Amino acid sequence: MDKRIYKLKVNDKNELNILNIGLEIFYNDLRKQGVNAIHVAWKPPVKLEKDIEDILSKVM
Amino acid sequence: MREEKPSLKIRVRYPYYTVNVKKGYYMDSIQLLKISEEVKKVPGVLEALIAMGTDTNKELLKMLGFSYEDLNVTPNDLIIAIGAESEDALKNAVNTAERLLEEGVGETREYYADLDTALSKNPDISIALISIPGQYVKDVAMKLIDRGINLHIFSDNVPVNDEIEIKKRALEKNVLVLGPGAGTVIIKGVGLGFANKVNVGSVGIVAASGTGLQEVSSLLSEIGIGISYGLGVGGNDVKNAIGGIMTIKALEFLQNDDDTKVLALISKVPDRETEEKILNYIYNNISKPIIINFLGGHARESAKGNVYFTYTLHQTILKITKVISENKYVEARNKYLLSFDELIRLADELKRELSGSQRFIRGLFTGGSFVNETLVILRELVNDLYSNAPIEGVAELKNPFKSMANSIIDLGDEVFTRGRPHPMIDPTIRVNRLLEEANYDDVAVILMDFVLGYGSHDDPVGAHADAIKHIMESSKGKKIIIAHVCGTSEDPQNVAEQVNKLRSLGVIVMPTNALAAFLAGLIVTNKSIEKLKYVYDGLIEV
Repeated sequence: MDKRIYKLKVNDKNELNILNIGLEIFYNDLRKQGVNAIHVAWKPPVKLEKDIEDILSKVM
Repeated sequence: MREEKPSLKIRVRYPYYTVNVKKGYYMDSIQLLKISEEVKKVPGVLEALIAMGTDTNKELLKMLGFSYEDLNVTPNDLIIAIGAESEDALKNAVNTAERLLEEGVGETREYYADLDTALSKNPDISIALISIPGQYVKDVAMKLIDRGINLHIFSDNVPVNDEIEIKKRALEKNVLVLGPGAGTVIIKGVGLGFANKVNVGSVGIVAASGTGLQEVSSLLSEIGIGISYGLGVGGNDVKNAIGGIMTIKALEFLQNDDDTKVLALISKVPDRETEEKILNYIYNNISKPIIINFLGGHARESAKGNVYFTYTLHQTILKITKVISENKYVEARNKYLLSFDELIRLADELKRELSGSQRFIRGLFTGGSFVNETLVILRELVNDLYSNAPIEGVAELKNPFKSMANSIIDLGDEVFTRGRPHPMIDPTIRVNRLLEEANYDDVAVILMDFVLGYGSHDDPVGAHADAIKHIMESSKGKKIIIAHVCGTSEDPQNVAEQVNKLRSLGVIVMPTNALAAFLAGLIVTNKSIEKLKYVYDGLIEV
């Protein structure tokens, strides 16, 4: 089996490392289960006006 | 069919109220729910709704009795609506809301403000759980897939083209993408999203049906049969646009997993072409016993000895136990099955309390798979059956906010969840709907599910208790409420406590969702006893 999917398998040390992004309630529930988890407090990207985006895309 | 009008409209007015809009302000729906709850605790406050300006929340605003002129609000804006007894109370509440919006109410002490930093400091991530608004999922998902990280995408409303791109990239990188719209994932006893605390064991489940996975894993666990992996794949995966990519990948994973001895595939009915593709894969590649439940699908003959088909979640549980051992099968039957005669007797007893005009069922569900299973059973027992999530043979309820005849409502449908927490977390919409449905004179039975586990409300029954008490008192016991509680004794809410609480309120609690639906059908049906027995044997028995 490919080792990346194999990462889903929990090893003897019970190591399952989970990244939670979005709803904090899910992170808190993972911690309650004693899982290694980290939380990313996601915010929507700042929306640039279309014309500024166009200019930036030409410059960058 | 004539539209019915409730005899009493649930509308309130507040002596003092405000409906304000903050333009371009984002906070996640659960944080906002917590803030709303905190604001409601301010003395003199009658109601508070602090929520993003989605159509669902605007509808709820009306339902809660806030009147407003043309509200210039988009889903990217925040609504602050508060009703209070006095001007001072209103002022205090507004100040509290503003303070909490600035400070937040979270429990998380340590978090990362951006994904790149989180990934650079934590290179060994097994799986990422994504629950951000659907339109933003692709950017985050691609970044994670490129690092070889498996995904559980809880988010709904991911554009289908994004889903296709995400899954194609995942195939290239050989990672699993569970979702979008996957409510539940279980990995060796660890629950992600909405999941119950289940024992670890030898049954591996692939599910395009979140609450289906919760029902089967919980009921198996309660009789000592553990789950190795519960891999929710999201409802879209079995549509032709996606073609079952991850359903097949998840089946392959379980076939290759040494700890998994028995497989189950639980799914809403796949598109025809995709169904054939998945079945071909199973016939050619799965050698372990596999129980397949396409909820609402046609009868199928198995073409291979290790492949079994069932019609309901209930039958799936019994069949899995039968494959595992005769002892476990007997135990499951004792715990989860009532005989046909017992059910008929119970229905006759309950019917005696009804008046002649009471003839319809209203189902108010938080779990989509429970809606499906209920429809599979009721379409055999009643006429004039409607749903906002219909299956073949059931009419579509055009306006999900207004029931007709026998209506089974999926309150987890996106029309009810845009910018709001799922009803398993926030019962506000269901409590209001419950009170409304109970006011119809021709309603005999209200069917409900209570889903426990991680992610769900701390006390779902308690959150509905006042409404149920009110219904029982005002109808003088003439409204029958039948419920099923999906959960385990290890869940934070504890299944036995929730069941006892419901029973003390006068609610009939059934051991499985299918039995709850069958009992409701028996109460209002006019089918012959032979037909009823035929349905019982076909959909409940194994």
